[in-house]
Amino acid sequence: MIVVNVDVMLAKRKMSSGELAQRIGITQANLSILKTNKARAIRFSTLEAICRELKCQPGDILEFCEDEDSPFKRD
Amino acid sequence: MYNKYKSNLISIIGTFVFTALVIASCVLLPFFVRMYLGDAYQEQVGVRTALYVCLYGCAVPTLLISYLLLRILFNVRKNVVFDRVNVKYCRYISWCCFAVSALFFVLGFFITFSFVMAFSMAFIGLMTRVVKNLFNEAVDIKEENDLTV
Repeated sequence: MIVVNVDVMLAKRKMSSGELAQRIGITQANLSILKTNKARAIRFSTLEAICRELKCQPGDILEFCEDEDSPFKRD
Repeated sequence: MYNKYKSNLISIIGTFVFTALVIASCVLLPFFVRMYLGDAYQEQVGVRTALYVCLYGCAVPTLLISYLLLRILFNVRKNVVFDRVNVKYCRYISWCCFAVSALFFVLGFFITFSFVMAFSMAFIGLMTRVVKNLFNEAVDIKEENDLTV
C-alpha cells in the first residue's frame, strides 16, 4: 500500500497541519483524510501544492509499503 | 412551480396515502372477499382461506415497503442520498416485491388472474433491483470522489 508521510514532513518543517491546509487551499478534513491514509486518490494539483509548501519531493511524502491489505485491491 | 423539495413532499404524501389505502384495505378485506365470492362465500372455503392468507400476507411486505420508502425519502430530505443505507433499503424493497409476488403466485392456483399480479410484482421487484445496482455504483463513485484529496 501507499503510505502518506505528510506528518513527518510537517514536523521537519515545523508547520501545523492547519497552516498547510490553508496554504494549499484544501480543508482540514481533507488533509486529515490524507494524513490518516484513508485517501483513495490524490490530485496532481494537491500533490504539487504540498511539495511546493513543504519544499520536498513527492517521494518524501509518499512511500510504497509491501502489504497485503491494500485498499486499492480490486476484487 | 416545480422544485425538488415539493417533489419530495409529494412523494412523501403519496406514500402516506398508499399506506392509508393498504390499512383501509386490510380493515375492509372481509367485506371485499364477501363481495367477490357472493353466494359462494360459505361453500368456497379453500378460495376464501387462500384469499385471506395471501392478501393479509401481502399487507406485511407492502407496509414494510411504505416504511422503507419513507425512510429513503426522509434521508433524501436530510441530504443523505448516495449512501449505503439507501442501497440497503432498495434491496429490502425488491425482496418485499418478490415476497408479494410469491404470495400472488400461490393465490394464482385459486384465482387465475393472480398470476398477472404475481408477474407484475416480480417485474417491479426486478426494476427495483436494477435501480439498486445502479445506486450501488453511484455510491462507489461518490466514495471515490470524497476520498480524493
